[in-house]
Amino acid sequence: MSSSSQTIERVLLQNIEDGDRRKFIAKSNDADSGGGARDLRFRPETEFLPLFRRMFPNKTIKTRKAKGVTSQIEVLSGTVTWNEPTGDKSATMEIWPATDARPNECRIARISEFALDGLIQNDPNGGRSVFMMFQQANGDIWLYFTTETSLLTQNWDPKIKKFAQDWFDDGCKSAFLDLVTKEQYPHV
Amino acid sequence: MSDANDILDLLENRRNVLLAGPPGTGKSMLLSEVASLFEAKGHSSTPIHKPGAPVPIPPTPTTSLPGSIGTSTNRKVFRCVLHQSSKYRDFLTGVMPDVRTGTPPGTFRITEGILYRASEYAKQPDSAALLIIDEINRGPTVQVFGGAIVAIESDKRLAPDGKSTPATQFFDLINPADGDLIEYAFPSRLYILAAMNQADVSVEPLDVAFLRRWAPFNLEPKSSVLRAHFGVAATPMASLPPSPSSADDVSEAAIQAFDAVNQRIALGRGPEFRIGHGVLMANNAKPSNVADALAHFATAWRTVKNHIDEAFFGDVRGTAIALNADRGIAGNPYSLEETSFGDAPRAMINGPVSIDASQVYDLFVALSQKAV
Repeated sequence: MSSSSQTIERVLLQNIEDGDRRKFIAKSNDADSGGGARDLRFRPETEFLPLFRRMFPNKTIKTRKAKGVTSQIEVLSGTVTWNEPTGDKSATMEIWPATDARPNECRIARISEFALDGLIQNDPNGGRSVFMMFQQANGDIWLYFTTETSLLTQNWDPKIKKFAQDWFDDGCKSAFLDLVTKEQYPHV
Repeated sequence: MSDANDILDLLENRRNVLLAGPPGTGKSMLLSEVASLFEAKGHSSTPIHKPGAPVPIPPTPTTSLPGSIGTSTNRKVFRCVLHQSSKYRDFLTGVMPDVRTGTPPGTFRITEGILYRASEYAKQPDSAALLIIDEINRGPTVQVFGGAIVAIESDKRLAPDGKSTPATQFFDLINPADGDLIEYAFPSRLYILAAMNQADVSVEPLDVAFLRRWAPFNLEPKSSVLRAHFGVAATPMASLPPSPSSADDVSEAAIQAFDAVNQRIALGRGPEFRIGHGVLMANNAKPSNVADALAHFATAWRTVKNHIDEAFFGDVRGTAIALNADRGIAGNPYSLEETSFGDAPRAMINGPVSIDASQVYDLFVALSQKAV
């Protein structure tokens, strides 16, 4: 694979809190962790859903039932890959739009089905545990787990390092950098 | 290769580059990108995934920057914006009243303008300077450069070792050190990147003799950037739905209207009068539902409409054609009316002063229609 096809186009980061860790094993249904037991949520949807649209090429219309009301929603999907000690693994990831109960929060659906919990990194200095998703120029999407200490001190590309620093400075839960459209959240 | 890298290559080869493009095509962003690459030695301009590495996105090896830019250890970017009050002394050197605290009334001092400072920086060993001049056509450009206009040419600079060559062009300059007139020439590692909007009708065109001393780099409006920004399909939808059912439908209509309007502007006034994609991306907004999308594009349309009015100022029929108002298209809030002033035929455009969100989709559908 050529290096140009592996050029990074988009990076997404999310702080994995205790409630999120339980989502990775489908045991989070408490209010503090954001309701749904298996979904990683991203807010504001107005920022993150357009990013997901650029990352995930497939769109399907699905029926969602909530409190007896049926509605049609657009679900994004695409293949994601991650590395495990036994080698690379791939699966189809779905992105769902916000629900009435949690408006302006789009989500990665059923993260628990990916069995990623063993890959989550604990920060040696008590900093953030970070879920990272990045897309290459060839469209491939990779999942990765790292820590605040790693992002700030290890040998990351300076653009990634600066993006992470901006995110840590802001303190919000999720962040993205789109190197194609030059967009970044949180805005700096 | 990115536009920024192309510009750096051009700077290395020609020393002076003139970036031109309609408003909203990303000139300012590109200037910043070039400045960032120049100072950062091209480092990390393209993060690359290294599967299996301890850190999956390590720094990209330094550096692909060309020639003397790439080999200079010390680099500095100088920035300025030209305006109607810009003077030769602001760029090179000159005499001005010294009103600094502690100086007696009536004292004068010699200025060190930004081109002079950049030049002096680049004259240091192992050093390169990039001077960025934005809005270069919004001031008395030729006067500002004065006698330096010939000396900026790449083959009329000093040699890389600082010595003069038979082709080196010297010009007179007030030496800030002692006030004497000296013969001055520019160093080899001084790079000048200027930007302008050619269609800026508030200023005079640049002198041709001045222009030929710059390598041109032109930017175009790109609907592909809009498609990526709003997350819609890379190719235009064959036919727009009569009413939008999603934010994507509104974005698609806006992008098709943007393309069609720009095509008509290019025909009527020239390609330099088109408007850039950035105008639809104001505030970095990415609407997620129909209502937000309509509101966003209704606001963006005001800027496009003002641009059309300015580009076709005094030309009612040209404005009408740009707005597709001359073809009786149903749903178009604008229409051309043929009337008279006494015996003289006149034309006028009927339509709302500003388009609200409820009208903007129909407007975009009408604007996107092309002449058969």
